[in-house]
Amino acid sequence: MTLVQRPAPHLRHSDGIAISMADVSIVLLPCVAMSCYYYGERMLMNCTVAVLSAVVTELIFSLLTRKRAIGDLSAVVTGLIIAMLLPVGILYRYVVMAAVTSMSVAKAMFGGVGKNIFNPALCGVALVTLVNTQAASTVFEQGAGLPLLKAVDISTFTPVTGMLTYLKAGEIPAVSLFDAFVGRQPEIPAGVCIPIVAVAFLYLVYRKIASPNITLSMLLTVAAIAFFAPRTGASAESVGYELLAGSVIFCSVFCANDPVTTPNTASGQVLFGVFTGAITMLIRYYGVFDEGVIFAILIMNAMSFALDKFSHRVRPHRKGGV
Amino acid sequence: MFRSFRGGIRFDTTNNEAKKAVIRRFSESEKLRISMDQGGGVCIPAVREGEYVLRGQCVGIPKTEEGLAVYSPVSGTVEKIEDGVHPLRGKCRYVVIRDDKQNAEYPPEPAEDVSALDGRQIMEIAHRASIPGPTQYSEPEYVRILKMVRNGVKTLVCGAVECEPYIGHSTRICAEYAEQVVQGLELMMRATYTKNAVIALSSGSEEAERALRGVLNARKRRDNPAKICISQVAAKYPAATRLKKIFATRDMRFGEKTIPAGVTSPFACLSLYRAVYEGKPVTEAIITVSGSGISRPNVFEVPIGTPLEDLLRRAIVSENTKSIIMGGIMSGVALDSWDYSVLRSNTAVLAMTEVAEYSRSNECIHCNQCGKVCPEGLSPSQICEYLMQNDIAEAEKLGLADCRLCGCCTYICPGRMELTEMLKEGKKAVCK
Repeated sequence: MTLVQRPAPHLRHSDGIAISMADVSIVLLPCVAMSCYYYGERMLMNCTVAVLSAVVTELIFSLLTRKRAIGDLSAVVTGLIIAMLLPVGILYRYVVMAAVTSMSVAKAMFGGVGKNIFNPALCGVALVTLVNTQAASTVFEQGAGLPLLKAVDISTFTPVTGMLTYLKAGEIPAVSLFDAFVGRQPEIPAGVCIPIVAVAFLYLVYRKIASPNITLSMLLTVAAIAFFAPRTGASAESVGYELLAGSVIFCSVFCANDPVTTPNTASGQVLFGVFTGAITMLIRYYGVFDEGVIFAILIMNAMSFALDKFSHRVRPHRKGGV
Repeated sequence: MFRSFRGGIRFDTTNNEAKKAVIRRFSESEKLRISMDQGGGVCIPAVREGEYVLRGQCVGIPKTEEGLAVYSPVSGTVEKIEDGVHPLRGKCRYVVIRDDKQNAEYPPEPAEDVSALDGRQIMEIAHRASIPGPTQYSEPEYVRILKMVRNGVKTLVCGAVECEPYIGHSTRICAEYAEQVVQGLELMMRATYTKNAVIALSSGSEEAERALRGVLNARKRRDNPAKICISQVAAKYPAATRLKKIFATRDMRFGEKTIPAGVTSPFACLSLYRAVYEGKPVTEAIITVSGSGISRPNVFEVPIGTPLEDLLRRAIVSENTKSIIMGGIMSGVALDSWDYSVLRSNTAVLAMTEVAEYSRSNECIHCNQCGKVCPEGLSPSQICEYLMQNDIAEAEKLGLADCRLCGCCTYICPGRMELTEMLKEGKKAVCK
């Protein structure tokens, strides 16, 4: 009998990368289901298109780079996040563009899983936003019955004004805070039911996939800026609207917690969250775009390594002593 | 009292059969191959081929004064003296003794008046009796006692914490030899000049706790006020190596300076008891034989030099055993063949039917799971990132030197990186 010699330890935990990605997709599914309920079958089609094109792109690149096709679900997660961050009425070619960009330019070009500097899904969405700002911010009424395959005709379906546009104009949005809280507001799908996102967040924290540091510090910063420098209305109202408008909560849970592109150290994570929140508000207040969180996270992604390095310098490893 | 520590891994040890097995004596082997390097210095054979040796007779004299002698575990004839391969350290000489089953004993020399012994004398007995340290990598027990005295330890910890899957010998020793362990621990306290001692147990060792409590209460009633208490430690790996820190005392005279606790093992206490009261040197090891390839997990008291194959066969080893591990599953050494024999410093032998996935990939997704389980609070993935770039200085800044190679990071890594191996290589590079 020949024996196998391996270095210690001789035991591995059963959870691989695939499992943690599966966890993320599992908690994404209720959010997707909820937005399908609000926006109808076109949202489902959006998801299918995004996921399929992301998976196919990853397969092509794994063949091109002769790396084994990684069986993890990261392409699925990326696809779902892209579908959640683009408005429902958008042309499918923009969804495909976002998904292909995210898996090729933002991920495979950097060397695949774990090597990318920027969050792939956000890169794709950011590109679409830059290419066609109009399309990426045109939202339609919930349950408007958008056509499944054809392009949405603006003469039959009138675009409505989202909360962020109201806020940009310095007005109080036309939806109540409660409606915004449960997601009954015309918005990109990421503005979906907050309780579901909160449960997803708790599950991710319980499974130790997400750390609460980034999400909480980011949302607290947004809330603090909204409280002390409201764009509209009273301070408390402003806090509610700024948090519930757009995709800031969704992104703080699903995008800002991507372990690959965010800092590892606790202090680095808090700084990451604070800066992301501040940049989000900066773009919202003074920028061209209505929503700033996507660009804020991308900007801070570039800083993650520096933040880790910084916190190692501020709090160097203390000698074990004993 | 319940103590815990940072990080670590909680294994499911509920169906650990070794903790429930009764210690069995194993003396079926005809031929014993006794290594002249049993942990604690290389020895020179003190016997000639064909010579008749008694049980407890010295067969190997240490090359240096600091080394530990090797004693024959059986009576019989020395059949051969040969060169062989040592499982941990490459080459060594072997003395092969054929057991004549007579069990003729070399006259033991118990201490005449135990209460008159001072610390130094007890330590010398521990040296002469060749008591090994708690793991197969540690220094001999007498060296550890010397270091404890030099460091001025205030608390002595007898570590019977077993938090790895499969392992159970320390718990069994405490359960079955409670009286001897307690008395040995008292001797150990005298040797290290400590006033307090703690027996650290973890969950799953209720039987041991009951036995120890019984002994301690009886001794209290007999007006024997040695301050020994039992403490529960979180059943997380690597609790055994954290005891030093968990039970450290803060010395107020020197400000915030902490004094680590001295750590000993139940086996060392038992051996010290036997050495002092019965005059017998260590000729047997108490080891767990378990693993997924073993259908009857057991704790055996085996003479040193027993072939591993005999021992594994007795515990009914599976035909499709893929690897044999000397030591625990987290830090043990995978052996390259079956033809080794039991060493004095052995604690466990595991036979596994499945082998852990091994890939030197570097698919780090920066999830920092390794940082969360690291008992030293390091970030292994970042250290390894620097090591892969050969930036040893930066790796050292992040605390490479504090890594104890416990293996928690490799166990948890979802990217299946061989972090422990990389850290080990890094530490070697630092030494160069």
